[in-house]
Amino acid sequence: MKTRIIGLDLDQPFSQLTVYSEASREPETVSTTGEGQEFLIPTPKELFALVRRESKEATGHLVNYLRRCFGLLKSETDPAGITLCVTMREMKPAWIRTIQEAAGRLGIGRLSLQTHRESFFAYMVNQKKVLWQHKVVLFEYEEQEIRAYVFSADYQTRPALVTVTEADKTRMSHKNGKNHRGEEGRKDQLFFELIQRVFQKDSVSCVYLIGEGFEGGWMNESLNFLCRKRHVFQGSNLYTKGACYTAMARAGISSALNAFLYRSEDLVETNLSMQMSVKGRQKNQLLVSAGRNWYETEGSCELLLDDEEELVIYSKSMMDGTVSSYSIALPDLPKRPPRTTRLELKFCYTAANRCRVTIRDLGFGVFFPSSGLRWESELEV
Amino acid sequence: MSGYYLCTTPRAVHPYYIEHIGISIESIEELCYYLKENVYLIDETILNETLFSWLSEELGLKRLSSSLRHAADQEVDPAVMVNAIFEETGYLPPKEREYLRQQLLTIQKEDPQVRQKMKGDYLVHYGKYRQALAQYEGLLANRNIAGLGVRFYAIVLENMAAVYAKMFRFPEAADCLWESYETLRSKKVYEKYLRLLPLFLNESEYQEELERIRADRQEAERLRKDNEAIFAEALQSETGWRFEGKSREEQIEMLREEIV
Repeated sequence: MKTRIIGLDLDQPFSQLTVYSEASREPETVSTTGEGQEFLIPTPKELFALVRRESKEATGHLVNYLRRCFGLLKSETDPAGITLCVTMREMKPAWIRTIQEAAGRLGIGRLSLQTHRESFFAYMVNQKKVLWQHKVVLFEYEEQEIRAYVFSADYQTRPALVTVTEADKTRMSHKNGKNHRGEEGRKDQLFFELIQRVFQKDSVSCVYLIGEGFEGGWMNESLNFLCRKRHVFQGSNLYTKGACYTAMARAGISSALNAFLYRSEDLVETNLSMQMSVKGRQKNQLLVSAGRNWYETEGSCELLLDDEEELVIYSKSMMDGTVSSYSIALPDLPKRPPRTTRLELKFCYTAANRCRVTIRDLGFGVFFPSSGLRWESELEV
Repeated sequence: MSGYYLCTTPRAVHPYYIEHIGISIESIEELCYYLKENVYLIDETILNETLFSWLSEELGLKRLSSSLRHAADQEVDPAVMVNAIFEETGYLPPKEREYLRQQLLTIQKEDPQVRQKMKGDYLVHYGKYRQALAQYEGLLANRNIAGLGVRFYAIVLENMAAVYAKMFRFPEAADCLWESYETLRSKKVYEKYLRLLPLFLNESEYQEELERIRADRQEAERLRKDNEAIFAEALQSETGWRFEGKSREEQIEMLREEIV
């Protein structure tokens, strides 16, 4: 069975699937018609509604859809050998849960999740550097609106900090939704004005135009301006390719992302640690690393209490180095001699700046049986 | 030292069973605790190939396992092997580790019979009464009065009596107590003997024995009443309802069966 590295752009009404090609050593978007160019895979109409309603059937539907998508691949794949990155416009909690559950049911080897913006980042840093040596702007024409996203990298830090921010947007449809004479000219003017606002006086080395709305040849003035001394690309599979690039990094076959840290709105920016004795040495033991999106960040450990009745956890911002401490009380914990209370700590995030810590008293074998007590605390980090 | 100790080794899926005391160990930290708290039980019954294999296969501590196996093959002192375990884990802070090491070295220098008695005492703590009695009986069969003195063996007899009493084997307990008393003439032991008699002798046997040993009748009666009070309190416990309506002999027999 083959192992696969896959990027999936999950959207409605269509999704797109990209798979890493060992022949070209590049991601290639999968066509629904074999060797053809039909890259849009219809997404089941009810799937998004089911997830929105947090229906119990949502995971099952997604599992079936993923199976159909994987069925488009040329050869059969062992799910355990799949490294999959799923990208969506937004990563909402209900989707995070559903995708994780579906991947679990399918037995997918490795899963990562990211927004379209992060996929844009992953796509860009895998292109030639000349394209992103200055700012890159992506214009997305979706549902009568063009949004502008700006990719910029700060090389003063190591790794270089990259942001993709929504800079501006403009509504393209006429107020009453009808086409008017001169509509194309009006749209071109609106787009041109948006470009001026977004670019201002910044150097922009590259522009991407995403969405069917850019087709039809209406953007004469805008395109003339954009193509002046910069690269302009138009297409529809940037996000799915970006997701595939992330999957490649996670599978260890690409190191392009290593020199960068993408600062998403979902990024966990603080390390969590505790002062501990580790094999006889006192150290600040890292328990949770910053640098990943909150829905992919977790940690766990087991420790013994040594004459302590509470836990003290430290957080350190990877951005500015600010350190904070948090005390978690353990009420009703039975009194035992030092180093005979084993606690299990689990860390999971509910937002980029909120970490839930679950603590369980494991006792100490037959010497001091577990009390069965459990505590939970949410840290605003 | 206060703070937190990181458990770097996961708990075992299959615990290590210490057969002679009947407990299971699930982690290297529990092993450390056991060694620290039971220094007199550290011998080849725990530091053996079964333990070394468990450390390697269940806990993934292959290097430690290998070095202990090598040490055992070289017949290295158990103190050295125990120290290796504590060094690997850092379970004890340096001062406590050194104290334990010194304790082990001191024990190695002790008379073997002293170690054997302590082993018996530890087995009693774990409720391993038969194994404890075997240790004590071994000592009494090979007394070294010149080396350890009569007091040592009097205490061994007293401890044996306590074990027999825990097993509700009162005649044997009484015999041990009397022999201990005859050896050392301890008032405490004598009093224990008087307390024990009513638990297994009928009234005429009891009076006969008091006559034989020329007991102070008032003192004997005071102790008997005190016994009754203690017994009554025990029967008030949560599970005391089980003994309602039973004679004292029946109550004692029920308790003995539970212990056995």
